[in-house]
Amino acid sequence: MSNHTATEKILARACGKKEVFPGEIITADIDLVFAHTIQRHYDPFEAIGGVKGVFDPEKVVFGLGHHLFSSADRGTAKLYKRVRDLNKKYGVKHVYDFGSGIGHYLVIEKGHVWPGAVAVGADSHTTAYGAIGAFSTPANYEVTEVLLSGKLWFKVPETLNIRIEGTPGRGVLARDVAQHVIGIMGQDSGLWKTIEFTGSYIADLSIQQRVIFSLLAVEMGGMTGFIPPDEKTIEFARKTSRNPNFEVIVDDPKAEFARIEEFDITNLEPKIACPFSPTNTNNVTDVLGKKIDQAFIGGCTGGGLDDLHRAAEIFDGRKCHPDVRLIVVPGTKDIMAQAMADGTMAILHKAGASFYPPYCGPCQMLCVGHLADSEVMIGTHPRNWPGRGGSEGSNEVFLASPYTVAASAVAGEIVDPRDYLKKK
Amino acid sequence: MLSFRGRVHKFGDNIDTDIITPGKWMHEGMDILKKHAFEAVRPNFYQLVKAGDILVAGRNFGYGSHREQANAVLKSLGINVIIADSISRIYYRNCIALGIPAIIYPGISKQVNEGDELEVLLHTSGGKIVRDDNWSVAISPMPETVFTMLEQGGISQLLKLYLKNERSS
Repeated sequence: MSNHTATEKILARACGKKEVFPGEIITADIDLVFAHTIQRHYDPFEAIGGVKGVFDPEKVVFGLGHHLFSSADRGTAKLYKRVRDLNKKYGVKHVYDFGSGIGHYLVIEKGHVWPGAVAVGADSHTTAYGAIGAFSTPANYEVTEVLLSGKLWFKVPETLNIRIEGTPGRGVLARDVAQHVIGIMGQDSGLWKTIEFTGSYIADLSIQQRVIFSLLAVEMGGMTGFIPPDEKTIEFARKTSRNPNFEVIVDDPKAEFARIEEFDITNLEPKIACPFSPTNTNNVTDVLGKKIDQAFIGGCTGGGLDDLHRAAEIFDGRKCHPDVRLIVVPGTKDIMAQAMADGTMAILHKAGASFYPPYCGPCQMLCVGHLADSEVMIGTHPRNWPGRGGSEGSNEVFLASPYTVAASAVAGEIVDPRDYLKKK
Repeated sequence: MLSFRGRVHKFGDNIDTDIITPGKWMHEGMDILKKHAFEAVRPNFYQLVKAGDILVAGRNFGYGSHREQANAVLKSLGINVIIADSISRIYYRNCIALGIPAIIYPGISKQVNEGDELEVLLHTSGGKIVRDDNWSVAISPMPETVFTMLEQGGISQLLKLYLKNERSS
């Protein structure tokens, strides 16, 4: 009995069985449900009729401010008024409204998940909470069901173990490594599987940098992006978790993985996702000189405190290029407060940044920051499919680390960030 | 036992949800959205499809942004069953939640052709896909949870049942 993966053990706990096996269909108790586009779930509530409230107000988190930091027009103002009224009607307590920040960051920061938890969310990047040892996975239309029953069926997934070893050179950040891995693995390599990241490189990362890997797991088709909890995770969860009795669940010593992939990133170059797919990874040096109109530091893969620090490292004493609009959007209010307190925001302000309140930023152009036809953007956010740039045409959007985005904003074109780092 | 019979419309690999339901038309309502379904790869698909038809695709069908309109539009077009070499996980789950049978059968896109007439039988004890020329393949038993949801026509029906039971208990 000592050959189960952490995923199998978490799901066995959540469905009340001694053990479960890949391929088995189970019904699990859910510890957290996250949603941002709430009206999609309230409409069926209203249609069904007689719904008293959500199954457990402690286990439901609504990120109203995930896609928008303010009403974009009278229509959305009316819609969100209705949603706020319905939140009260259905007894939803944990609502993060306009200006609070990106839902995935908030769920982790405010302790709504913990190691060993089972979490689902009506957003594809709900793979994120795997970074703190939870089994967290996207569900969509079904979230309506979970909100009422607190349960959801799963096919127990096999685990694809990605082992990352080595220490990359200066100028190469967690985003570069994650970008490299998803580029090599491809967009359906993790279909119906847990993607589990291990190795000495992952162990050395901060919790926030680990979130980048867990989030981008979905771009490989992964069901979740799991990182086995270690001392760092436990210390973090002790400070944040709303459940003080969380159970740390890790792989058995002889856990059976469906597939193991090994990466040595010692000599890795800075990486960039080129149009039109997040897995279209190239070396930054392959696209040098590409002119840009807008640069964005933020999004769920680049709005963390560490990301803002890295951007400020490049911008310190430099100005954004006059032809580039620089948008900086801290991931949450707390992240913004820390960046204000430690002087990071002042450096970015001097460089010429426009700040928007914490939210997803112009990743999907759901609020502000739209591009005109043929304009080009570079950002730290996760996706660059056709149409996500805002115009009807297909804007070219490049995705890279905060170093690369900041250095390119200074130059007005895509550059190698290593040329902009101060000598140590 | 659930059984379906219909004509095949075949698509390739990595048909994403932006191809199925282009973002530009997402907020115009289903009547308009369905006229643009698949238009990037097959313009006027809505005129080619008949109620009861079957959609066959290659790898990673339904990849991309997780909008349930990309599932609901198939129902609205009259597609009764989807069979693909592989199906993106959330797309698959949305299908089941909306009561649309989705079948993963690796290699199906190489074995059936555009316009074939197929019969599809689904059950918890196993099922099969049969073509008029007597070609057939067996498909795995459908899990009870999934089968019940399909039989009921999706989760909103199940939720009504759940709430009724809750009130009476």
